[in-house]
Amino acid sequence: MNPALRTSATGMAAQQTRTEVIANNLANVNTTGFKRSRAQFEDLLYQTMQGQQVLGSSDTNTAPSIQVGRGTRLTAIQRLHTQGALEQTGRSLDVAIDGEGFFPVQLPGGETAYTRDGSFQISDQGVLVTSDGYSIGSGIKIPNDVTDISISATGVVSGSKGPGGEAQELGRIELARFANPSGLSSLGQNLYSATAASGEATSGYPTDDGMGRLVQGQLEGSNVEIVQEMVDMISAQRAYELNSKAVKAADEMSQTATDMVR
Amino acid sequence: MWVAFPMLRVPAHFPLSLFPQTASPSSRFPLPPSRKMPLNGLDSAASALRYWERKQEIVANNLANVSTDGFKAQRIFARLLDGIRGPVAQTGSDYTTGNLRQTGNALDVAIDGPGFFVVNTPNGERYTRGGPLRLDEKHQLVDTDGRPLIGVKKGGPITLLDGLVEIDKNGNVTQNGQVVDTLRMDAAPKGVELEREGNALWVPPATKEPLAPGAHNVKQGWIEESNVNSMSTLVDMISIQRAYASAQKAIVEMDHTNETITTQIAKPL
Repeated sequence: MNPALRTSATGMAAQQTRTEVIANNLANVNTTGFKRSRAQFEDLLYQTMQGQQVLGSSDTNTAPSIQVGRGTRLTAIQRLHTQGALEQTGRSLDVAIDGEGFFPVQLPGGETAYTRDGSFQISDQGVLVTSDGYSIGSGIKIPNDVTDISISATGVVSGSKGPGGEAQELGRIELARFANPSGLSSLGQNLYSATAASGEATSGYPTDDGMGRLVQGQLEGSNVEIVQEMVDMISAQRAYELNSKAVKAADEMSQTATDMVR
Repeated sequence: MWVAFPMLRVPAHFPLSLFPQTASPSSRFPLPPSRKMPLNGLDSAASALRYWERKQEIVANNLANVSTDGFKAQRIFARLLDGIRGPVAQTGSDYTTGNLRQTGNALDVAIDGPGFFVVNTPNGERYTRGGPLRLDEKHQLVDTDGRPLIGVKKGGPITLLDGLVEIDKNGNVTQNGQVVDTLRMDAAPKGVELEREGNALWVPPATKEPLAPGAHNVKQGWIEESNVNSMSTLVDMISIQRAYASAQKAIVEMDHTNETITTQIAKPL
């Protein structure tokens, strides 16, 4: 059996995975804080062989090597943590991070997760929480009677009681940053958790030491660019087709070979 | 829509020649007279079929790796060796830099130009063209498959701290304003074909040669895509198929001749 058939099959499978990743990116084109992914491949093992003619040759030094590769395999789906476009919402509890960093979020089990989705709410206990109800950082209390909440670029949350009341500082939002954000593992619901690959979180206030700044009244959109995904999809589709042509070519060559026998 | 591809070209002597890419003219290596027997044509044509089959396998592998980061296209060509009938196939690599694509990830590194990074594997040092790096449990800088990259300073794995990582053009890894280590880079040997191991790795030659100062061009936040040109590979595939068919025709014709000899000439009167 011609081994090129199997090689081309791995190529087709790779392009299919690529298309699946692109489809997921496109499905999340409007997901707040979504980061697009990219499939990453590596070549498979090579088989080192030599031309049969060389066998028995006295001059073995002149025997050149032939290395035939056996296709490709998926190694990782890599998340690309580039900045998404900021979208104006006008809601006072919407906060976008412009630059590096994640909001640390307290999960019910006590672990810390991280998110870039800053569509915050106030829980029934008066704590600043994410849209899924997880408190941000160690929890910032917002008293009931506070009306005018403002969040500064450096993360200071302040509010005033009643119209014309004096603004009071209620807390400060901290951000967390990683040596390798693409190593974070995705928990769904726009949440990520730290892994060995990402490194430990370093926390700091916004705008300090390379951290991004906070922008109130805006949300970070998805970083998926439709045009880019479309172009990638076309190239994946063509590459799939090319590999299927290679299958056909290998098959036709086998046919040609068998045609020799009358 | 019809698009003209300038790389669509067919060798002038195609498909008459069975080995259009023969490196040395056969006249330089005349076959010993004793081996020029009338039926040798069949052997030659059969070795041509084997050659084109190999070539098809190489082309299929190139096409399968059209989306593999850091992949270098392989080519196969024929050589005529003294005393050996027919061509001997040989593979080589096209080391040109693939398309660079910006990802914005701090630990994605690509080399825009020559050279290799060096990683430690259970089988010894291996070369790689970069790609997405990450940290492992020991806070070492490793590649996708967890193989540690080798630094110049300690001659071993690079252990990082927490915080932002910056990698400059020369491969210096900086964290919190301090140079932690420098990525070791070796040059591809001249005149020797690097052996491929798969999993994006290459086997270093016996004598390793560091990349010349000034030739370093590491790009942080970029990925090097495969350098396979799918269009010219497709054209190659078509010509392989045709050449294979003509070698097969040659065998069929020679068989016809033999048939004539055995059935017509040897016919009893």
